[in-house]
Amino acid sequence: MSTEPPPSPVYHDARLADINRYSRRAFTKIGEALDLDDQGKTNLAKRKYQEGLAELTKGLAIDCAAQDCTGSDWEKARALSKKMQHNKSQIEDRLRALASVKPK
Amino acid sequence: SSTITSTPEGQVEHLMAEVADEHGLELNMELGANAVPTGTTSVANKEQDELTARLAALRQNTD
Repeated sequence: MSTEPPPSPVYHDARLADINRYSRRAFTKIGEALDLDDQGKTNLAKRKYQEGLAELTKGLAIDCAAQDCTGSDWEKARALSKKMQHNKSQIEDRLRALASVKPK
Repeated sequence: SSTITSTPEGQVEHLMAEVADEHGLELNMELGANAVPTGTTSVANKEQDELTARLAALRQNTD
């Protein structure tokens, strides 16, 4: 027996669903990485950042600018993609900074 | 099915369910990958903003 979720509008394009999925997975991983980073657990943080980067990269591989990517859902997806790109480069910077830190 | 099998398919499904649980995801790929609530992009956008803010804070603290 399962509880049916309330009916909700759906994306009629798997690409939109994928972008969201990768973005949200990246959020989880990078959130964990930031927590570890705050705690000074550099090596564990690095690994989580890498995992988060991998999810961002998968999300960014989805083309948001194709000719058929029109409508408000795609506008939001393009905004999301931009943010993901920005966060990706921030994390790459952070990884470079951490690479010069000797683990305690 | 209620039968425990050791078929690769069974194992793959089990793993997928585990991974999905780990990330709090709905296992809706098989039922239709399109079944993502519309709110999700907004949520995802907010989440990325949150990461941006945290990454920026981290930068300031370490500079």
